[in-house]
Amino acid sequence: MDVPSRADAGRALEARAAAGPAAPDAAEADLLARARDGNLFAFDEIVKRYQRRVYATAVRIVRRHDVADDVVQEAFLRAHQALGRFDLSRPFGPWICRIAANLAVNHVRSPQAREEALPEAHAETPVKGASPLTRVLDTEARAVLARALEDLSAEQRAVFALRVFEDLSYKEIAEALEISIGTVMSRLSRARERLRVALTPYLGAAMARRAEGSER
Amino acid sequence: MSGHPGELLSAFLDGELSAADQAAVEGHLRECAACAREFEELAAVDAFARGLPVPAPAGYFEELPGRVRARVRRPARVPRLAVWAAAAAAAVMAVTVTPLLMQRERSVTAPAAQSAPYAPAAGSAAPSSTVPPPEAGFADAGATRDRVRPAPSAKREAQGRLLERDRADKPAALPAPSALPRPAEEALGKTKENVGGLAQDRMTGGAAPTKAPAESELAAAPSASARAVPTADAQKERAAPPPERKLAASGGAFAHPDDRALMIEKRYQALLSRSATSAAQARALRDAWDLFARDVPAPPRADEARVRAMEAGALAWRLGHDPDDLAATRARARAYLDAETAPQAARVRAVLESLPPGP
Repeated sequence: MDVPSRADAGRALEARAAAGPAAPDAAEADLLARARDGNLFAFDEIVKRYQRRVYATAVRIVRRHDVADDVVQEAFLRAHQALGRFDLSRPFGPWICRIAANLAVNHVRSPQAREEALPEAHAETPVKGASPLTRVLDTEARAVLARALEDLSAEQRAVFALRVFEDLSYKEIAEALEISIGTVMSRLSRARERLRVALTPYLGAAMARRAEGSER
Repeated sequence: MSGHPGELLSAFLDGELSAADQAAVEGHLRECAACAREFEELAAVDAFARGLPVPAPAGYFEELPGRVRARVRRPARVPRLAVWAAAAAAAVMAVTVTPLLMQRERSVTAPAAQSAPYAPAAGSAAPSSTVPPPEAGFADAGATRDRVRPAPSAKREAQGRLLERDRADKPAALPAPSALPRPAEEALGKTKENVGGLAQDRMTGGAAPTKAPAESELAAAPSASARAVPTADAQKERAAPPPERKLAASGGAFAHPDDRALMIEKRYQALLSRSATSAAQARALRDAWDLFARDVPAPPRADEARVRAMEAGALAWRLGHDPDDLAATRARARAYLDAETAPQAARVRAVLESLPPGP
């Protein structure tokens, strides 16, 4: 497992600060402009570009494919309807992911969602590369992490997903989920802590391997 | 900092603390090995989570765009009257085979969910007062199912007329159009109540959602009439051209040449998914395939359309035992087999053999 050092984290922060908000490329702005003018072919391209990312956001929160599928479709529909108000100078990805996250959390909060079956079993994808022992450990760790994520509340998963995968700021997450920044902070902290505790045995082994590697 | 940072470690990792807190935590981590380790573990959790695969069913991302397209395709920024006129007028023009207009008449032969043509660019000819505001679609998620059915006033009357004519010669209930993929419709029905109540204005940074009158009418429109429209066969359309066709002719062309290709493909897929449970429906399907073959003369689609038209003709005979259907289908199959090129001769022979022997 690749464990970043504090220095890594610091560098990532600096890089993020230096880059500023990700600027959309010209081709995407053109696509969005055409889609906004009613060109469905252009919107089709947008869907193809972002469907995996939006699906990932949704399924990380709702943990069920069928529900994530609903959320993704609805998110694209709403984005399409709101394109007229969308600032084309801003990146589309975070925006649609925020819509999807909001839809996902609202679904999970609904009484109907609580009556639904348990989440589908998480597929255990074998880890490629590394030694056999490392692969086994990492595959096992992934399964543990997947279960730990399922044990989080949907609200915690949403905050975690938007922060860790979408790299949104606390302010952006707060707006997307209609909660306060303080709530974002506490939910994220609790989510990470629970995941950390669940993964501790594997984190220790991984960090030890990393330390050994750096000594050689 | 007096104690361990605890919950602040997470925000420190994200660079979301105030400058003072950030400096304090950083200082503490230099002194406290336990907290430093905990911080590294938190960072490791993030990194590890990023490596988790996101499994989706095989083929899911190949078909998702089409399903989104099917739900998006509605006249969001196009006057509904113009859309209706475009569809109907194009059906009329099918007779004279004008390639551009050919694309539009598809809505007569394709199921409702597929029927609304691509929204042309701004500048369409119809009165602006019929354009729903962009927020219209925000009314609620449930409305999205009905958005594909342009409905207000004049159009709904036209639908009603068509429905009556349809009922007259199609006693059996028409099957719901199957072109809109099942999961999109069913799954939406399952969750729309939940996702519908969102505060969309915040999500999309706009004003409070307002339900446009046109959209409200749509939601209230009887779905049966909306379904009946596309099943009205092309001949009826040709016999009763709507007066609005000038509007369609002057309405904007499709925004992109690829749209036409896409529409042909969608129309083809819609026809493929259409079924017939009565002779009248089978005849309508046969005619729709014929129209398609005329509009899209290039093989292999045209050839497939011709064969499908024959198969629909044979089905019409089996369901209705009308000698005309039998004779027409038989003649077409023989003509096909007599042609120099008969790419699907075996299939057409099977059609012929499924019919009773005759002259």
